[in-house]
Amino acid sequence: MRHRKAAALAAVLVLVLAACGRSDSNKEASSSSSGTGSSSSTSGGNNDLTAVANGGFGDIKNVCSPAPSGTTLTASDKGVTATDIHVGTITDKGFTGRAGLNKEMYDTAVAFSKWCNEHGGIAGRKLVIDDRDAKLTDYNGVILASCDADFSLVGGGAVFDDADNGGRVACGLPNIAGYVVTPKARVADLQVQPFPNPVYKMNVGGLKAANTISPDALKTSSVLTAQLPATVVVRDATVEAIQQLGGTVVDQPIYNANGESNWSPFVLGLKQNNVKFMHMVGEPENLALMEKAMKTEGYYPDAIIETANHYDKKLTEGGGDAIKNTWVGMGYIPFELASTNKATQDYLDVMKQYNPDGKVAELGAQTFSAYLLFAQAATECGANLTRTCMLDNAKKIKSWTGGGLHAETNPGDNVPSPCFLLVKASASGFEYDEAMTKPNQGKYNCSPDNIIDLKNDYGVPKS
Amino acid sequence: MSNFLAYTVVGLCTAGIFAIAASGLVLTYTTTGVFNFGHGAISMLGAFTYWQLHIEWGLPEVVAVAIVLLVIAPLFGALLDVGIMRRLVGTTDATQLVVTISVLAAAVGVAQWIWSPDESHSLNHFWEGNTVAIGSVRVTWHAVFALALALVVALGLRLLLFRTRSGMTMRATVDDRKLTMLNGARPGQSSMLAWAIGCSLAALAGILAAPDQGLSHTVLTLLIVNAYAAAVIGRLHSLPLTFLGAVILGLADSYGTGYIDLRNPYLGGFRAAIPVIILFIVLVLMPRSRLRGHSAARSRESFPPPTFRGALVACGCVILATAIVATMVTEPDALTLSRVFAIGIIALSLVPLVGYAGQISLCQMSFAGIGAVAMAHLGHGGSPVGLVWAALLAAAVGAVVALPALRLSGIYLALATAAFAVVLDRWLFVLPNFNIGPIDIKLFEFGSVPVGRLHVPFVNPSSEKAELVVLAVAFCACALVVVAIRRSGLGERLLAMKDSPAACATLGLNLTTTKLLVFSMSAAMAGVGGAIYGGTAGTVTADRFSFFESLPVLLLAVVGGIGSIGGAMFAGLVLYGIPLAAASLAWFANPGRVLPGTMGIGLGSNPNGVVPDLATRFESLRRSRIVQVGLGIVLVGLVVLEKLEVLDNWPFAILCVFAIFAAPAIADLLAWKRPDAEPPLEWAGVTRPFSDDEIRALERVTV
Repeated sequence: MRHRKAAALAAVLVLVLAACGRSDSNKEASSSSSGTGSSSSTSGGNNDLTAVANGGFGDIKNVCSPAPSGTTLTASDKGVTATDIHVGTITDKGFTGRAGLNKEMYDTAVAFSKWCNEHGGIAGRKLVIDDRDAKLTDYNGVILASCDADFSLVGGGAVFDDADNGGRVACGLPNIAGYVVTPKARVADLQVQPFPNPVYKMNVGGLKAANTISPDALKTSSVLTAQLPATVVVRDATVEAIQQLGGTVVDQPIYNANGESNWSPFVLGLKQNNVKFMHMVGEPENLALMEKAMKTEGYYPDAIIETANHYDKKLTEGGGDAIKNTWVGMGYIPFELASTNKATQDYLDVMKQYNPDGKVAELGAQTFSAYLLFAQAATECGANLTRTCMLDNAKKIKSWTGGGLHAETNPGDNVPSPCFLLVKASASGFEYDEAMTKPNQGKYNCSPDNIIDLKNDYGVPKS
Repeated sequence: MSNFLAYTVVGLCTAGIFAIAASGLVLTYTTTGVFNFGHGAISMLGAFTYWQLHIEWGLPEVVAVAIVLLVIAPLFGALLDVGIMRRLVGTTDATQLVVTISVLAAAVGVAQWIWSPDESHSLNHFWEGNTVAIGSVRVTWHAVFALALALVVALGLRLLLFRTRSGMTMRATVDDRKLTMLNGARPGQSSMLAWAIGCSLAALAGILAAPDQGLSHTVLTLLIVNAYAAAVIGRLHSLPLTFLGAVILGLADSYGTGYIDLRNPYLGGFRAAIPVIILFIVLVLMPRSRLRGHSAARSRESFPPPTFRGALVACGCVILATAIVATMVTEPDALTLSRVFAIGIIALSLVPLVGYAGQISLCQMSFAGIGAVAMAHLGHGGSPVGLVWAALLAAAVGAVVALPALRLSGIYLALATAAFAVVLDRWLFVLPNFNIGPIDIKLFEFGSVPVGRLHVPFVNPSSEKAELVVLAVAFCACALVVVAIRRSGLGERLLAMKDSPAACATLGLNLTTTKLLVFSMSAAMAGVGGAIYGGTAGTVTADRFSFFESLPVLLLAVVGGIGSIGGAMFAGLVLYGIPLAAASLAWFANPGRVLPGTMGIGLGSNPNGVVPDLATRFESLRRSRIVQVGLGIVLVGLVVLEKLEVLDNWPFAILCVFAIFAAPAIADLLAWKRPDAEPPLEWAGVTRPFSDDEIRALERVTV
């Protein structure tokens, strides 16, 4: 019966996923971090060290490996024994208002650990995944449990991730995050995000693309959201970004977080203001409904550009042929391009083989990237695996693509990547839009100009 | 002007669906006296069933609609009537309300089970793609059809109720059930018809609304809240006024989007709150209801007054058991368990209000939210001073809510408190900090606020296990307060007010101050509970204290036994204890979601609740000292075995439960030897005092 929250929640998720929409890397594009750690291959026979069957992933060789001969493993830190490493993956999948929320993250963690352990584990220690289900309301509870038992948090995330009041940092638990939501948690210590999502930097590549479709589209922008603190912060940041790009936000409608009975009044508002560019900080379900109302009224903005949480079949299936002029900006290679991108295909293969009933989704790929980064950082520590060592190694990684799952980022400095790509949404699903993306690096459009610094105050100190 | 026209047209289209939903609601209320909170959930089920038939199984639209509206929904309604609603005769408003809330909870649980929220479900309009232009705006044929249908439904229902024999019977049944029966009518038949039609209308509203609102478990269930407002404008019996109400709400919705400057952060949430604000105003402006002479006099519900001795023994047992449990569980589990007591205190606050005074409140979690906010801003990291502030501020807000609500009773009061709760969580709780004159008001600071754990001297604040015991003590302290209220003159006044407001007024009892007092006290206790609950959560957002969080608390408190302290404990246990115990059982996930709802549905047959019912079974134990001692020895033995690690946690728990339930049976066996100890009912009270069982038996005697 905590249903109201489901809606609220879903809206918050937006934010979350918006995180994965922003990719970054500093300068150099290109080479993905190949696992610098373990070099000795464990694979028998086949000499392609990046093949999933040989323990490789994307362009990474030997993600997991047995202990180098001659090393003795000991219980070197909390959550580590001679044979195992306990890591926690936080989700909200047990939230009764929306069963299975973000379960793809846990499902991916399970698949990763099975696959990794089959190839020797993290330098000889088996990964044991602890299911840390915050059920939306129990974040501090799972942090407490994890502090007690886990070496680190990896690849997870929870909607109310500021609820531990710094408990995670206080107990020294590192977080190689799948996603981070609240501003407080985004600036927290002992944390590395494979896909950085800092508060005061924003990838605006997708927004800028609006002007490609229709000159000066940003001059008449409308940014919608629901009255939820978490989404309003993102709305405000987006409004500031549009202004920095020389645009004007003519309207900022607020819709009911519990849903709207009729979206037509909102379309009338767009029509009245002659809005050419629209952005909804919200859920794909609601955008689908709003576009259905646009179809009825016969009015569409020239460009509707959304963040990666709208890369969801709930948009295309829910909206059907009403979905028009709609793009989603992402930092990940979409699953539609799996056949042309080894890492994406590898992710799908690992899931299929090791957790065939698990859910596959964008956020799962993000979890996978976090596990890859963790594996690399932890493997480099070798036998003497400590939290500090792992975290230090993770922070040394300045260029990261998750084996090619996503655009290059700089997790070590928590700087977002200047790359993006756009997929076009329609009744038939999502399709990579090369003309809109104007790629200059593989499938991505990368440029330092895609990143802007936000100047307004978003409630946390600018580091 | 053209914009105005456009918003008007669009608003009218929305109104059609509200009107259909609201008229279904009005129909069941006027004919059965039950206000169906689960109406929206039935809409949702109807829409999903239609989706299943039409989209998934490919039946043609017309066939699928016909199957849902003419077969499945009416059958469902008839089943609801026979299986659940009919058994509610002679129960209080609170019980009836809770049963319909249970229907809501169970329906949403079942729907999530069958149609996974992860999947995309969507429905098209009828005549998809066809629109008509009215001025500068285009509307779908679907919307025009819905509006026309709403008119037809309103007229049809009017004819049914006023021009047909069955309609007449339906209305007569509500006016005076016995008189109608004397005249040869069969109320069972007419209530079944009413539920069948009501469910069918709910399903129709769901099917019509789904293409625009989205086929979502929650959205459809919740948007019908707007229909409540429309129904109340029709005073729950007038269909034409209900239709007018729907039009007002539809227009308000549309104009709100067009004419309120939503860039103002203080007005952002206001538009979403408009329907409930209208609801609140209408309720407050409604003519004062007559004081009822004997509302609950015929109620089957009875709660014996607790004794201090009994309460102290029970509290001792609870604290002792908690201390033992605390030694066995992990720190994180101790944290989860401490929420049992936090929620328990909030549920406890309902006991004097709902259980004794018969006033229904659906905003208890809102009071708890005020308490949490007070603790966050004034509690300085969890000092007990924060609890005092929590109690004071929540009591003040409670009084403010109670003032306009004083003239209301029963379902109207419930709706007014619901409206208040929704205004808080859609609008006020999400406001940034603001000032009223010189006073700075800080709520959730437009986000989340950290709340300190309750910190008492001599207790290690970082030990969750110690905190768990502290909260058990806090719960017991609140429980003793409730016992004190019940045993005081105030308690008697509350019961009297519940039994017969008219008689109380005649005797010179000031109903206004009594109501105000009980509302404030209840709010204060909920505030304390909220402050503690916030502490167990660490950082809280307004979502935790929303209207829809209040429902399970009320539901489970009533299921547990709203007149008893144990009932409050039961609510906490079901919300946080059972999920913790069952966390390792994957198969339990889906049944667990449906569990609270199904518990409430059974209330009709046992309106006193689970805990009082259990208590009567332990009656014999109370009389047998030998068995008490024996049970004590067995339990101590089990604890020792557990401590020596001979027993694991699970076998220990199972054996304890077994021992506790076996004890009264053994006591019965011992007592059975002396059959003359049980004189016939006629001799009770003569040869020895009445027992509780006999009092109940006497109440059932009809002369």
